[in-house]
Amino acid sequence: MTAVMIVFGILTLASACGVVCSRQPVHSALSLVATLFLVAVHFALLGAHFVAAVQVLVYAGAIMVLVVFVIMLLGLDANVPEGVAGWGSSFGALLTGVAAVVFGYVAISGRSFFALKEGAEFWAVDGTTAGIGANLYSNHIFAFEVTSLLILAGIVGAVFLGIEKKRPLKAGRGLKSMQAAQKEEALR
Amino acid sequence: MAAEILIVVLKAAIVLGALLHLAALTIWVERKGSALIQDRIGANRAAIFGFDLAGIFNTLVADPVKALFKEDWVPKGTSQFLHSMGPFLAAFPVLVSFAVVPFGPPIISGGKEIPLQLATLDVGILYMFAMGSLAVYGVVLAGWVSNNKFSLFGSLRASAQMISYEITMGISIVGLIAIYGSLALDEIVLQQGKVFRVLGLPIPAWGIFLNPIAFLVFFTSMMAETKRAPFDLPESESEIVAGYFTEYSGMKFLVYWLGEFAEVVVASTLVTLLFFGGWQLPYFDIRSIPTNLWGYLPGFLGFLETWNFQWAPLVGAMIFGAKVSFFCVLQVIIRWTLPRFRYDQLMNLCWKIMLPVSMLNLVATVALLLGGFFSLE
Amino acid sequence: MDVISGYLFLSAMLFTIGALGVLIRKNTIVMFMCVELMLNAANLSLVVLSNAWGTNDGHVYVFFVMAVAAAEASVGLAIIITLFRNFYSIRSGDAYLLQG
Repeated sequence: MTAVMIVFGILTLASACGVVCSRQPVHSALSLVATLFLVAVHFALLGAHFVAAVQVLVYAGAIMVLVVFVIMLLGLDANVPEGVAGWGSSFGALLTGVAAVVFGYVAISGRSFFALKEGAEFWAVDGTTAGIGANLYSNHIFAFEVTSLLILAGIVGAVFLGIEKKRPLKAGRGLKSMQAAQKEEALR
Repeated sequence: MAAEILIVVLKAAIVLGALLHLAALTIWVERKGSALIQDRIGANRAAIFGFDLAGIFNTLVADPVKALFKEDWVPKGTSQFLHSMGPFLAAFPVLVSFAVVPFGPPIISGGKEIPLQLATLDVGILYMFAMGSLAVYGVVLAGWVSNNKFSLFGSLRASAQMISYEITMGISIVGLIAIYGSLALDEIVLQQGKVFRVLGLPIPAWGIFLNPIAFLVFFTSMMAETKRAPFDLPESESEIVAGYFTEYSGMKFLVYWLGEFAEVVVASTLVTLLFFGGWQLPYFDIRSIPTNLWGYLPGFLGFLETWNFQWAPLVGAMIFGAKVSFFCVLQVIIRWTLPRFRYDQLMNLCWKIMLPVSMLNLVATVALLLGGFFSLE
Repeated sequence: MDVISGYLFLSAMLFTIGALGVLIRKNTIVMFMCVELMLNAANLSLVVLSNAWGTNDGHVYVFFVMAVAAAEASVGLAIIITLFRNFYSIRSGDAYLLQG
């Protein structure tokens, strides 16, 4: 475990906390971009160069741009009131606290349990484009083809959902709160 | 160890210096060239002792100094920190994307090869695309943090445009990568030193000859990625003031501007590397230039008989620089010649014309490749 | 702590942070981003464990996870937009019509 890994690991956790804790969705999104970029750095440190490049290209460069685009398009950058933390949130927080302890214990002790080694073999794994391609198009070719179907389904679903309906429901609590906010804005 | 660190630092200085100087000179070409195209006199106000060096003093000395002394104005109701982050997020990815560019053949010193490339990455072209796709955050952040409708419109347009054109940009070169068989840029450039035969005639294996349709699609997409006319919808001044950097002034605005021109240089570099052979010349391997030119020189230069110098890296870097400069100037000329698209035309061009064309081109290229048409030798 | 345990620990913590976000936040777009965080934690442990087994299968799985995440993003964001169009809000508690 080098110092570089520890420093980047702490940065990753800090920016991940930023995703959860930020009040504004845009701040959350920017924190998430930083987290994804830092995870890509970890991939590069582990020798997974192709995965690192694709991580930045797909996650940070495409998916998160779409998320930020939607946030700005819908004007969701206002501070959405989350309401009082009910018993559900407290229970969820408690549950994740327990999960953190369990996962942490498993992560630290799992290495000896499964007799995983960090030898020369660990650093010699072929993470180059050629190595991944050879594996992907021989052993995993069926999964690769199915993935194309999945993405096609995703496209069709997105287009279907994106077609604007003529009459929205206009029945949400959100409508009332938005109208109240507009009235307040007008008064101001 | 110390020598290796020194070499890396030197290469970083050369790469960054070349990129920034090329970007600055492109700004000068743009200012003065637009004046020539529009039959104006152009940037000629600033002069030192009466010399204005055809406007260089004006664009590269007087303007930045003026921008340095401007008030740094931040709109009310936004985060000062994020407002300052915007220009850096826009310029930083463009500057670091130059790290994987091979700008010349390797220098051979003491039996070891020193590649003229800062980072010899296996995923070079993916790295450049990844960094290019990160550049959109500076634009998006600028629009959001400016607290201004027109800025927000500009950044929305920019993000939609950049996402759309990244797709055609990526697909258009897949066929080319299949032909060269590598994503590493140094390997791609080396492959372009070979020839392929059409009806027995040897033709250099440059991307433009192997796959001309890909070049058209790629160059158009790169022009759209740099957000310049005819694709400058995000900053069209007749509709939305100045787009995403409406609320930026002084040096922050200048950093945005510099980032935009650095993007022009990176676009020219990518076109040169993928389609015009990088530092290679057609039919002539510049690595075969001898280190001692004694036999080729006239007699009065006899004192040079024992002088050995590696000409290949120098000549290669100069050829590379000339090609990149040519495409920078070409982009400036295109910018000042063509009128701006309408937004629906922009999206139609991407999704209804260029995407199907690049897909068909990919299928045709792979079919020809499997048929043995592109056998490089 | 060696590299394998360290990265497994980092992955576990990233996953729990993401799970915490999904459980306690009510803004659907933030919940969506927290799901991405959990997927990334899984990716990190896939790469580490793949290296530990001495093969690059895990890198290929990460590639598939990214494809799934891309499909999920396209559909998920479309759902969020539809939610906003119908209810003028993206708070998860505001879509309550099925409660009868």
